[in-house]
Amino acid sequence: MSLWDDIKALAEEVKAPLTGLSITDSYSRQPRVTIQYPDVRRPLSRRARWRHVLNRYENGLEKCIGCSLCAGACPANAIYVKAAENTAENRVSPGERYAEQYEINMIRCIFCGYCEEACPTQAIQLKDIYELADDERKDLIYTKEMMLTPAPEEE
Amino acid sequence: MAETITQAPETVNLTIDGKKVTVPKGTLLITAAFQAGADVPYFCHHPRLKPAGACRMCLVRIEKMAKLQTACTVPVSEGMVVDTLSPEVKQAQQGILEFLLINHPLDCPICDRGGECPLQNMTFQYGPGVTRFIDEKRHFPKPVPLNDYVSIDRERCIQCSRCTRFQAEIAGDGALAIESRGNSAVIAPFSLDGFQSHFSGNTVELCPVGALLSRPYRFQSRPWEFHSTDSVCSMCGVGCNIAVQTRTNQLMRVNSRLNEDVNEEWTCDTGKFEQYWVNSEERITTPMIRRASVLKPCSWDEALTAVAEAFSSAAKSSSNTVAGIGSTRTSNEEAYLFQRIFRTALGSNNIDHRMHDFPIRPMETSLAAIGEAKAIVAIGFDPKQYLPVVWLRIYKAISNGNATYAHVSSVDDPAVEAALAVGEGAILLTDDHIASADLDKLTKRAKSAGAKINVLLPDNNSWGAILMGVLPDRLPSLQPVGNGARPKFEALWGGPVPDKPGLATWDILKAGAAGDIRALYVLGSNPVASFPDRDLAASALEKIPFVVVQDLFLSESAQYANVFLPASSFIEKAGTFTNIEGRVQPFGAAIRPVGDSKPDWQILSELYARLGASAPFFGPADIAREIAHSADKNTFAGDRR
Repeated sequence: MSLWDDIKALAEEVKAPLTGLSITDSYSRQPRVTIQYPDVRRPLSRRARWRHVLNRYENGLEKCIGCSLCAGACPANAIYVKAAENTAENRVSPGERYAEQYEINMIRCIFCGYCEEACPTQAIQLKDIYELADDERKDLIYTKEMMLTPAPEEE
Repeated sequence: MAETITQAPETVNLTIDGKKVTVPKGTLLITAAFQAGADVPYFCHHPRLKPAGACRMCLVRIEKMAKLQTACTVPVSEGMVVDTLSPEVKQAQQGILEFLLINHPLDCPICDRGGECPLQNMTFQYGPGVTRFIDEKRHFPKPVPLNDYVSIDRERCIQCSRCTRFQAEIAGDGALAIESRGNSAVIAPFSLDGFQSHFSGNTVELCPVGALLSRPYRFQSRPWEFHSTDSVCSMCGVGCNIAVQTRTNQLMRVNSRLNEDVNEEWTCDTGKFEQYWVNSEERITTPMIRRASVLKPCSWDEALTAVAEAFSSAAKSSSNTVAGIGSTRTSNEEAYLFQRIFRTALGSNNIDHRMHDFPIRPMETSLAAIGEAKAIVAIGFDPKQYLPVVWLRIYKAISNGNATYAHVSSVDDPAVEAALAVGEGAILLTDDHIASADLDKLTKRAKSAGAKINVLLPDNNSWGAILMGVLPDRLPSLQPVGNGARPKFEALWGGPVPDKPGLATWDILKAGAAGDIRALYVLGSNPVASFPDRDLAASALEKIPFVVVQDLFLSESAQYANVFLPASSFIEKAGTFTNIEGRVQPFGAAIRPVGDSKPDWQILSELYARLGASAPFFGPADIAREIAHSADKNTFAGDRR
């Protein structure tokens, strides 16, 4: 066993980790996929279905007419609507009827989007608001006020 | 067998869609078609109304007739060959629906009828799917209130005339009519002061679109959202079968249920619209006990213990010093338990429910028989006002059988004489205010003439209270307290039952005012407001040292209560009511008891346990079983469908 043999054996042993490190090195030059949430947010698909939003018309009236078709279509039975009648003094939506109470139980909701499909006025839409975690069950029952888009004059 | 049927003279043979059917002569083609299993769409047809042919939806092809015919107006004839499925008929159905929808707004999402609407269903099943009408639809102000209960949305009306025909043919008041012609035809009240009828609510159920609408139910719920429970109306003695429709533990709507022997498929407006007191915010839902002359909320245990102690200590000194005033509105089970507690645990017969003395006499005919009478006289009361659905039977007799009818104030009225002259088939109706001398006189005359007398008791369970023994001198099934039936009840109840008749309501109140009553239990009644001598009732309740009032609201009598026990309404519990005919009808619990309130039977059962009951009752069915054991087959058949 000569010195040269020793050197060859050592080189043989060093070769494997170096090969490995070279792969690591090649990856370190590639673009990063990790996103620094919540400082950075990944853009969602245009069709992403997350939390519901109740829309308004441009004049500020609510699109929702309180018809309960969303609640009827909901396979998870997560929606509760209580309707009331519009009056001249208190006009909430066009036509005769509006939703006095509108609640969605987000624990039950399976984000299937049937409510959006059933809605005759496109009042309810599933938007890309996905931060729904909470530590209190009753806070996960979203009320109409929480889901309504702000009225134009309030902006 | 088939041979004999086909040769019977009163039947007719015809072929519908290749299927042979045999129906009685005079049957309308649409009815025969249903019997043959054919599906003919319709809006204006109704089996209880006369044919109108107004909506044109039921067009069918009849062989050898030039044009399509409306099946709802054509009586069947021998050898008719009918086709309901041909492309020609389909095209006609689509055409009619397209016409009907020209003026009908497409506001189904906000329409109270949406989801249970015949027009919506027929359009889905038979409609064309698209319209060629692109112009502006007809417009009317909407919704227009017609009376306190019903409003009309004229844009939705398809002029089927079901409502006007109901008012004219069934209710007999013609309160609605079609005004104007053609495109401007609208349904309008006949009278200038609105839709004056006791039966306006039925038109809401009859309307095949959302034109006639219930005002209290407006926008309250959608038809697929509420839960419907079979129940019996609690507003009068007729005992109409109703469906109580509830959502979020609240009453949304009352609809009628079919019962050919009682209400057919109708209700009165009181029954349909005046039941919303069950949702009232004014209901008391916690037990209360009087402390320092003010009623203060307390726990059930505290309230029931106070009641049990007061009654048992009063009964220990003398069983004559306790008394109970029951009600004509509690269920049979509750009335039975109430008298059982008084008779066994307290050893007292001082128990009654009557607010005045009246003759206890079952009806001599059934309710349905009134509709077949030849002459009817209502003596001393207006059936339309007090027992509205009885009026529908009377009007049926008037309109179908040409019966004579009068409502008079005295038994000596010539109209009574005229009805008695008819003899067999004459029915005299009277209420519980008839003097017994008058009734005896009338009975003698009616008996010799062959006429029948019906004494109609006003409240929903008047007969139940009587037959369950909430009377000072009668045990259940009208058995006198003194006679041989008592040992049977003593064995059943496991204790002695006093054999001397107790005090009637008026005697209880007199004894109370004189200071002889130490504890009074007022169950579901309100003597201070409904006893004829109100001053006596008020002074009695003031004088009696311990008064328990069990009710839904803080009534006039509850102002004198030492303990107030909040009871549940009839839609929050199950049980049975006995109607004016003595028909025992079950009703189910539609919602949970509101707040801390409890059903009367449960309050009584828990009180009974504190007074030393051998075994508690766990539910109304438990009590009903015992009643069925002890009662006559005639008085409590235990008919729990």
